Amino acid sequence: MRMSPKPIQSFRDDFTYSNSPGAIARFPFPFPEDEYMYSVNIEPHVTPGPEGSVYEHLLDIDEHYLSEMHERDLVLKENPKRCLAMPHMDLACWDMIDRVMTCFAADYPEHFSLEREGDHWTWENKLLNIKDSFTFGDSSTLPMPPMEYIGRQVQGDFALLDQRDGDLFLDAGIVTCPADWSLAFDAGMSFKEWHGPVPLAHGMGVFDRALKYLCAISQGRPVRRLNWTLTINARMDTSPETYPQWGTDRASVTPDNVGEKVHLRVELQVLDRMSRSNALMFSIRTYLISMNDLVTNPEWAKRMHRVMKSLPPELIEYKGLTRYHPMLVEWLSRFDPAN
Amino acid sequence: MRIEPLIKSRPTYAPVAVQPRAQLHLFIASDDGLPALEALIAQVSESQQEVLVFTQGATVVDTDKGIYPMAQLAETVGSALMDAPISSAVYIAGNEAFLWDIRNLARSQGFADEQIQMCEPVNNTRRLFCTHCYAITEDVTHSPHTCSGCGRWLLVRDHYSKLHAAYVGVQINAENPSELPETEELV
Repeated sequence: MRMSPKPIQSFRDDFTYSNSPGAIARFPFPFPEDEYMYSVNIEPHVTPGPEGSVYEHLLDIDEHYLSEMHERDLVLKENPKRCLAMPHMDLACWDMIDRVMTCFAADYPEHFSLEREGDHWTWENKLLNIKDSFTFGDSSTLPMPPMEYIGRQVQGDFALLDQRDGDLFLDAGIVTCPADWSLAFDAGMSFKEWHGPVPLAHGMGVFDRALKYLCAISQGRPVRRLNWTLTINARMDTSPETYPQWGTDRASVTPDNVGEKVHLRVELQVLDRMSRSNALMFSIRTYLISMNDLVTNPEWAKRMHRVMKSLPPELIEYKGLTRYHPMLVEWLSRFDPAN
Repeated sequence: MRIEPLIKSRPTYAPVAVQPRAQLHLFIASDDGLPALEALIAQVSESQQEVLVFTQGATVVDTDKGIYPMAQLAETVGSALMDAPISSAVYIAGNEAFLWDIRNLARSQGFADEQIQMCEPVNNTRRLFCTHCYAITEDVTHSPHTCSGCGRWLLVRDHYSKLHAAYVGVQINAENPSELPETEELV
């Protein structure tokens, strides 16, 4: 791992979160073109990817590990229902434990280790001072339910999608840093149902094609895509649950504070077939970067301006950018020589 | 021609027809939903049908005639489903929350969606799920509507959960609490 976890920073209240130059350099900037539109932008997640990049390993750990695990603890203490697993998803949760522990121990051996003797497993997470022995598959041998247990040790939100009748169902997950969707409400929904509110893409057939593609993912051949939105302040928990606490942030943007307030929020989404349950593990790994940090890369600054300027009104509305979008475009324009 | 809903999670309802091969036809309705099923009931021989009607008060409770109080819905429907042969068909009429509550009961007892048919909801009332406090508010006809749990003004969205048999509600003025948009009737 190139990125060593930093001491805990906050994603709320005083927002002490910051990106080191190394973290900025590896930020997954999501715009390959000057204009953004939906596409089925799914590609094979072949690991190891480029050394030090967010694509190097199946699941990326970076300098924000301790901060994100602390933030997750705060969210779950406020509302334990941000994590759920339907009873039929128990096996899938154990699949996820297997996948995460096996990968972490192999990819980040300085921080994690796993010993297996038959079903007797011993797991050590040195970053969080966890060392547990348990019987694989027996949830009663863990200190908490399996989804919460593993979810508290891995950056990003996770959902486990049950595959049946040629569709995917959102039947388990731990979702404490979502871009405005509620696991509690969306639980049990089919693929098209939980994407119900997304504008434009349904008519383009995006979800028909994506669903077909995802149902066909085979074991050991994970796929990935990037998704993005904007977030005011470095707030991880932009959930509907807590919207009353962060909604006013959107009205706090002024021409003078765009650079520090507005953050590009990128999700590295990875879908990986589980071996025992046939579920899909859906990891949604969120990266936040302030506009001030983003424009330190002139290519990104220029492209960001062009993408924002040409964004369709439906997307401005859907992504909740309405109140500050013109200010942002104006602020970014100084970095675009064509302007 | 049916109008495609803008939000794809919102259910649409196909015309309901008698399933000829079913061994038992189980008709379940609220009292205001019953008229929607009457034409279907007439097509099925009496020995092959069971009719359960639930009332909030307008109709007199008479369990001999299959008319039950709404409070006994889960228990009564649960045992009727339990006793029904495997190849039974279920027909439901009532408001939307009623339809999906029954459908979820039937699913939990092993019925497949193909065995369950729902009539178009009898009215536009919605069950509302507050995304902030998770409280349920019944019989919502206007948006925004106050949450029965946390009291916030909720925008009633078209995003629907079959599991909760409810639409999602999100605080309408969270970005500017001094704003309170006008109330609109739901369709």
